[in-house]
Amino acid sequence: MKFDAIVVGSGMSGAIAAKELCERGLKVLVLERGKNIDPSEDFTDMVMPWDYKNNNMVPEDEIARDYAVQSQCYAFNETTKHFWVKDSEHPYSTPEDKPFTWIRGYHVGGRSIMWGRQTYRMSEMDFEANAKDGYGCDWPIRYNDLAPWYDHIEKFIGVAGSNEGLPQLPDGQFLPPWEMNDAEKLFKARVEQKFAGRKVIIGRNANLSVAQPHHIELGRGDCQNRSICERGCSFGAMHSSLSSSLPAARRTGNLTLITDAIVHSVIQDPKTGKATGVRVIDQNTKVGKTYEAKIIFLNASTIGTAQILLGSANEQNPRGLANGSDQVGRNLMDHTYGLATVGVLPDGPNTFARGRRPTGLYIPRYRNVTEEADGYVRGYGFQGGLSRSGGRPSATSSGIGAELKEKARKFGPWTVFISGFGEMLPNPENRVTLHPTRKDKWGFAIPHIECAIGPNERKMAQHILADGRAMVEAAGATVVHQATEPGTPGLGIHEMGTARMGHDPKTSVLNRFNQAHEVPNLFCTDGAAMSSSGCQNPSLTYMALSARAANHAVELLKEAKL
Amino acid sequence: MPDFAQDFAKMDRRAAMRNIGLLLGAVSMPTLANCVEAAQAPGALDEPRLKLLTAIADTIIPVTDTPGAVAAGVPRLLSGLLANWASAETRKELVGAIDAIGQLASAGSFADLPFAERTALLRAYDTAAIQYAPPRGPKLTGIAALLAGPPTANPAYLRLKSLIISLYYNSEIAMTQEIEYEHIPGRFEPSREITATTRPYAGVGGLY
Repeated sequence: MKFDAIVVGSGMSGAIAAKELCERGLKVLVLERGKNIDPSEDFTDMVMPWDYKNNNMVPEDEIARDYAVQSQCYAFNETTKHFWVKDSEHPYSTPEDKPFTWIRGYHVGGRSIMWGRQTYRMSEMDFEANAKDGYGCDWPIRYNDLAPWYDHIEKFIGVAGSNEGLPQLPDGQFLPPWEMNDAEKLFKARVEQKFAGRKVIIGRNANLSVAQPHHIELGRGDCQNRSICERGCSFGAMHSSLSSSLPAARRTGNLTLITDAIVHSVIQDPKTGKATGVRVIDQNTKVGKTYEAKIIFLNASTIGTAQILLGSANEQNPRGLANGSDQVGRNLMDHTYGLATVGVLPDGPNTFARGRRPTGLYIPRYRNVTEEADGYVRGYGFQGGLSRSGGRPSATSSGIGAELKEKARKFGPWTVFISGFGEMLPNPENRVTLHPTRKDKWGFAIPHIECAIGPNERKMAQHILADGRAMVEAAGATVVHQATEPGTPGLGIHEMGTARMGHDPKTSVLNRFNQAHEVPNLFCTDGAAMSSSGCQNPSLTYMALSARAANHAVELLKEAKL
Repeated sequence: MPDFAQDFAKMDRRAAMRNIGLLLGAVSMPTLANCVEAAQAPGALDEPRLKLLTAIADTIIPVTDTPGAVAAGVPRLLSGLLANWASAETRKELVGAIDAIGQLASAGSFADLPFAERTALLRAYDTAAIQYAPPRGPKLTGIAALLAGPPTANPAYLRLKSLIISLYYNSEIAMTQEIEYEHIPGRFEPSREITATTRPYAGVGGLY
């Protein structure tokens, strides 16, 4: 079968690439390694709490057997279990002293179904960072190259947010923001008063606060404030490949989607050096097949994309395809995760918020912006929120019987929770390779992931905790819990960097339009392309890079340059 | 604590009728179906233990002006969890916690004690259980430590209590009569006054 373009992966970035290519008239084949998702069957957002199977807990033996890694994600439970891979079927290896938590789902839409929906632009200072402090390679683009594409994606997916005028966190094309509750307003006032230059803003999220006509056309509606987004949203109110980008691609009539098709490698014509297609194996029948196209987009997710490039080694490229630089698989990054501070506010307002808002607070980066850092480069942002307990007594609070029920009818105090997400530097020793001997059940070498935080991240983590405590206390709250160290790399679920963009083919894999330096009709626009990680949640940037690269690829095709 | 009879006398007729109906098992069909299915699974509790667990659940979350854990089906649902969710280790721990409460009565069976006596015994047991104790097992860090909370004197009992609470407050009875629950809130209202009659809203999923 022949297509104009093949997109490998139907997740966050792949579905956007497919949509943009389809809308420009290309016949596009999307290959998804996982199963199909039927929203009427697979979305569990209408399951009432009293109808939960096993009280929404996955059986313990099943977790131990099949989900030892995936179960570490906060969104993993009985109603979402089918959206996560079985670790037993999809193994990877790490050195014993360097655990890496690779959280993922193989199905149409990938992690765009379960994502946290926080949506932030990277800024000029993020794109300049590598050039300025010398870590990693210089980004071949700057903020202005991506700004129109950020506009384009925000408008399409729908992002609720407030305009703040902050250079380190550019404003965008926002839907009306969610509001802070009264305690959050108090927290904001007290923190901003104590720390000039720090801002507490409402989290920017890809949920439709007010659906626009172009959203409604795709069958999407307003967010209902349920905050069970990771079960799949029957209202189509959160952006996912299923709710927005794939339907947009499909309505062009140019989309073909094939599921259960695991891409093993990219086929390269030894004469022209161009990619001619991909080899796939059906995950159920294990039958092999090839598909051909004029251009290929790799959006298999950061580690998956590295695995495909490394697995595409041929006679001329024994180290892997597009890997003359030896950077494929290297510079694996995540964000430091789990650096949480929790406090109780004794003098909070006597109000509560009704509805379960699908976002929290955000404190944009200020270290190495308005405030100096304590011996490290880059910075971090905080996510969090204030809420009050009630409606469910804790087993460890005193009292049983009528007393316990009575307690649950009272609102508890306001609790403040903030957690720092720190930028991780590109480090070539943090890398994905193919395991020399171990194979998965389809006969492909499993990824071997070697990744650990370095001295810059360790110093930053300490500062995150100190700042977290200081801000919680500045709000008048008493700290009741604080993390002591970041979670294992991977837990941020922001892995990126394994096929970085750069000016120089000797030190980078992709050029400024996400084209492989060495294979001009091969593009990669997932997290692998990232030259640095910023501290912002990265999905928006992957989508903007995808749309920009797709636009460029079509122009090159029209000019017969590919 | 007011006993059931006193509570009953204070209730208005209409509420009383509703609660009697619930006690007799006129709860919603899906919940009942879940209970029956769960209780029939292999590995569920035998009848004497189920009777003991029923007494424990009834003591921790009794009938007051609203139905308690028994009307909400908690004993059978928990028995179902032991069969379908718990690992062998967890099952042993939870069954041990149930049996340990069975030993609290100096003579006869805990399950056969009058409500007031059961409550007095279990209240003292509960107070001892929640005391801080030096941690056992591996040191927890990060979110795991946050979720686990401080180490306590009787973690097996507290795990049992926690499941009873969770099953009750996820039940249709609790979510429609004890607290407020809206599956589809629609709008977000950031600021609502709390009055003497405001009940907390149950949150499911998400941090906020």
